[in-house]
Amino acid sequence: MKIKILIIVILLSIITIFSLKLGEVEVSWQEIFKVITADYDSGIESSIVRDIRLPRILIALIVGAGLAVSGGVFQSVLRNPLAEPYTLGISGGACFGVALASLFLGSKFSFLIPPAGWLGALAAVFIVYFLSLRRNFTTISLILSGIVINFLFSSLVLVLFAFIKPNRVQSMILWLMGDLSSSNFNLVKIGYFVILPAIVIIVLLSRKLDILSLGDEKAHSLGLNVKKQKQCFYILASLITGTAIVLSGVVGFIGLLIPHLMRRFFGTLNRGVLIASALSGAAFLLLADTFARVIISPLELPVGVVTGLVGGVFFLVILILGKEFKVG
Amino acid sequence: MDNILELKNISSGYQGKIVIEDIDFKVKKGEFIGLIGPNGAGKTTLFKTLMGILKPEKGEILYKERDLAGIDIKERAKRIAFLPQIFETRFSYTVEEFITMGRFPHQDGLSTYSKRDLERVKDVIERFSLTEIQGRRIDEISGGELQRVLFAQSIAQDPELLLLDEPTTHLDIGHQLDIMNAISDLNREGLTVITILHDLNISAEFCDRLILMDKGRVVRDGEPSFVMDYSIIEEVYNAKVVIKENPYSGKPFLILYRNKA
Repeated sequence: MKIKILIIVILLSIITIFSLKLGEVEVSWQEIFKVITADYDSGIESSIVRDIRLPRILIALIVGAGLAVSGGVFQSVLRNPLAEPYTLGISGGACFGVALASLFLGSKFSFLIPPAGWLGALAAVFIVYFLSLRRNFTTISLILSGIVINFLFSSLVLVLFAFIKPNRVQSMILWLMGDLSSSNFNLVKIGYFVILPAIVIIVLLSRKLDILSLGDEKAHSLGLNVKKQKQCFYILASLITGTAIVLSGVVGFIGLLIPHLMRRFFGTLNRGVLIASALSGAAFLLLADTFARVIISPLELPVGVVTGLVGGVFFLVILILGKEFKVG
Repeated sequence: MDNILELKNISSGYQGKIVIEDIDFKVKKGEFIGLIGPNGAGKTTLFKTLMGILKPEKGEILYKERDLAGIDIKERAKRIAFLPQIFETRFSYTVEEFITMGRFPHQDGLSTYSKRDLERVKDVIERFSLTEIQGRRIDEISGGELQRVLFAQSIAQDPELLLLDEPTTHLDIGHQLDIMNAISDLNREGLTVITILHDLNISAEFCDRLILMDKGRVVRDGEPSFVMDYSIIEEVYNAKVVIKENPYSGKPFLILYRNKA
């Protein structure tokens, strides 16, 4: 397992270095070496790498890691490999919270935007939680409830659009599609102060996730306080999702794609799957964002479009081929 | 301290609807009890109440003279293991990983499984002849094998009392015997067992005490030859039966017969 983790770390480093180098302005290797060793100068290349690319990369890494891990958490808690923040509608809830806060709170209160995202995510989780208590909460119900929750919250976001000036609609739409272009170091701080500790806690508690994935009765008989643990994991995963939405808007399917692939390579126990998911989720989102940034340069695609395309196709493939999902 | 479990006038059910009423019996350490009765008699509800999933509306359950409700859930899991009737998972743990999870109550939340835990798991795997399939995934093995793996997980838990909900359902007679013999062996080594069984012949053959439930109450409680009385069985199950004695074991067995037109 250590070797596989090492391979992911190496890939992650390579992607990071290329992401620093590539873009509208291609930066020299020398300059990148300087940034890595924190030896800055005041040149334009250095400034591009340090002030524009570096925060964006750091955010892509933490958001990718966070979404992949929270996907893994939702899958174990709901005992369904198709669960993840986006398919469940948690992203939609967070989106509404963030949109509401950023439209109606002045810049003085912008520190309240992340909590608004958390609350929005929690509201959506709350709905999912109550639906999941019902006995016949099948894969179909899960997907349907996700669609409904997403629809509900995106309609509410559209209602908000009616209140804002047209010039802001453009940036809101970009953000809704998943966009990392407005990254800055303040956002980086929020990301690393919230998402990183949440990931660490989840990995430390991963054995409880294994037990939860066996079902309520079995988990209970193995001595786990099922209700309390579920709430704890829902809150952690909501914190991650809400924060990720603040940083990057809606980036879908990472939480589905990454843990699923990692189970292929790391088995099913959550500790390995979650550590590997955090690292490869980070690598995947950074790769997708670099691609989105470079492919039609000097224009940019929203990164959510890239992950949406890759993830959507993947989702379809496993719906068609995956025996483990027993859809229907 | 002979009694491991003591149920005192238990009434329990779901959301105010009482399903079992005035259940009152004692379980001695080392007993092998079969809980029988028609569908809807309240057997599973009784188990859920014993597990603490349902809280009794009335009455008290004592575990070794301590109030069961006052025992911390993790402490309870070290003493009582439960094998549910239906087990489904969409996560393909390996047999070994799955059995290891039985050790969960024995470690604190964060630590990895200790050497002792892993040794215990190894013992259990050997005991249930699962060595060959320990690396396979639980969604790839046969129903009989899965039942053995589930059983092994509960044994890895090192319980004093094992509750089984129809451990032989969906198994062919060979695998049924296999599981029942394994339970019997463990019982002889000191494990107290209460098992829900639908197959009355198996229950009479293996258990040293049967508790017959009907409509939420205990109808008869005692040795198989006492409980397997044709008039009682016919009344409770609304079926026509003949009861004979097994020439090899001397235990009662039952044959159904068809109503004459």
